Amino acid sequence: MSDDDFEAGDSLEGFGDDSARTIRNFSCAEARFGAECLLGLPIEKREAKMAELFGDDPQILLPVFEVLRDRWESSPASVRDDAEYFYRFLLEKVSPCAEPQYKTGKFLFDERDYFLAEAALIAGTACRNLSRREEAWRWFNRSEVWFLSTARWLLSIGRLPLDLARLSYQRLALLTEERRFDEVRELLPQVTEVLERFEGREEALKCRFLEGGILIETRELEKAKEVYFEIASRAKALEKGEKLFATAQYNLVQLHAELGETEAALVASREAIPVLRRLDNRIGVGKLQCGLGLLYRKQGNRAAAIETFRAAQMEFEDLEMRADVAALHLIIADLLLEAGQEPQARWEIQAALPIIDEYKLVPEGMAALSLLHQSLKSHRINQQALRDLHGYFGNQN
Amino acid sequence: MDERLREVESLFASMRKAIRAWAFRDGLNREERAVFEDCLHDWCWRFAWRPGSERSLKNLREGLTSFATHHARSFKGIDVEAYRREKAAHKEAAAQFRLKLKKLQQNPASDSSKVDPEDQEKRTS
Repeated sequence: MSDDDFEAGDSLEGFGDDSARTIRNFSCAEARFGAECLLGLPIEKREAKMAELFGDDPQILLPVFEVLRDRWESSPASVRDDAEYFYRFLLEKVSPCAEPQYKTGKFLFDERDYFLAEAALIAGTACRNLSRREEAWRWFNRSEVWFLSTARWLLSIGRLPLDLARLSYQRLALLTEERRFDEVRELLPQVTEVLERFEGREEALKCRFLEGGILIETRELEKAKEVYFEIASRAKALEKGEKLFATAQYNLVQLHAELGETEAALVASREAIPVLRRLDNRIGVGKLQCGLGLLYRKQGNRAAAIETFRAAQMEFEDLEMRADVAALHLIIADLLLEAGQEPQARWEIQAALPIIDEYKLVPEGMAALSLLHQSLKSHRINQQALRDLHGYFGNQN
Repeated sequence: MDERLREVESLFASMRKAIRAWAFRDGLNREERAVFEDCLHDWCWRFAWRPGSERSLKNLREGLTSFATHHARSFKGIDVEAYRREKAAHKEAAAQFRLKLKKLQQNPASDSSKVDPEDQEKRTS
């Protein structure tokens, strides 16, 4: 047995510079390409090809999960389906590592438990992006149990706090979206500290986004702006901080717009757009368009605002982010009412209401929702109820 | 090899002596020790790919120590020949798969993300 199954410089031509990094039998670029091929197969065809395409091998599964994490903001619906597929596959087709098996099996020691935990964390995060909150909670619970399960292989706690803190971050993000701000404020400092201590610096910085999001929701806009400025500046210093930088920028677009700071909003937008496009961060592009729509609205340019919100809505529709689509129906309805186009506004509201019911969104906005329902029946839209209701979506848009 | 893996290799090399000593303590013969060491080495390389691991080798050292001290004895009596055969077959399969990937990657007409290597190979041959 050689110590180095894969020799440095042994990579195949055509896979670029990154091929120097390896996972034993494959260069990084080969493994990543293999992962993309596997993910490119429709799920119904994948089962038969799993062994052939090394889908049952940690060397390809690691980049598969890396690709899924990279894509959860560009195609959350397919990431959710893929993560569920791999979770089920691992659960049903890969035997638990009992003593006689882990000696020679493809999955060594804690690896099956780890992959199950990671698949569940990815599925839960994608569900969170899709506003499928109950489902997200279920996946996060599964992830927790499997991460805990990795500890049975270890004498010390190892990297468990880091993995659990990554999971806790997603849970707190979900709580923020459910507007349970007090709970988030109570727990966020501990999670941030653990992430910083275990050198999860990007994850620790992500916690500041939750802080900024809550400040926006509680209308402490200047404080929120400071938080996002700090995030952008710290993200620039990180090796892989580009994504966080762009996210901070699109939040700043929205904040500048709300504060009527047109020039600053446009500057932030110009800095963010190329990065978001390069990273294929379509959620980010949609959110940035929302910020610009808000800016046009503040300027009184209703037509441009509607057009920009529509562009964001189409992006979210493609991504199957139906809660965001519903929120934008309400915002557009509000603008149409201002323009005296009540029939069109009615259509927008009627398109949003079934989604709000189906996803059990904005439970705290039930009164406004009920008022809006009643006003639709009486053929005179209650604009205040409409504004109250889309205000509850604020954190998402 | 990139910096991260160089560090992993260096860590593993620095622990190799201790790993062998733990395996010896648990009664593994020379060949069983080699299999045990090989499994730990594989695990190590893959661990380096987990999110966050690139930033700290501390967790890797802890994990490695846990496995080396706690699980060595379960390798006692392992079928070394079967392990070697399995490992060689796996290496060969991986080499074949790499060739398939190369063919796919070099075929500019293909949309590699939407096809599987076998179908693509049939199409191009």
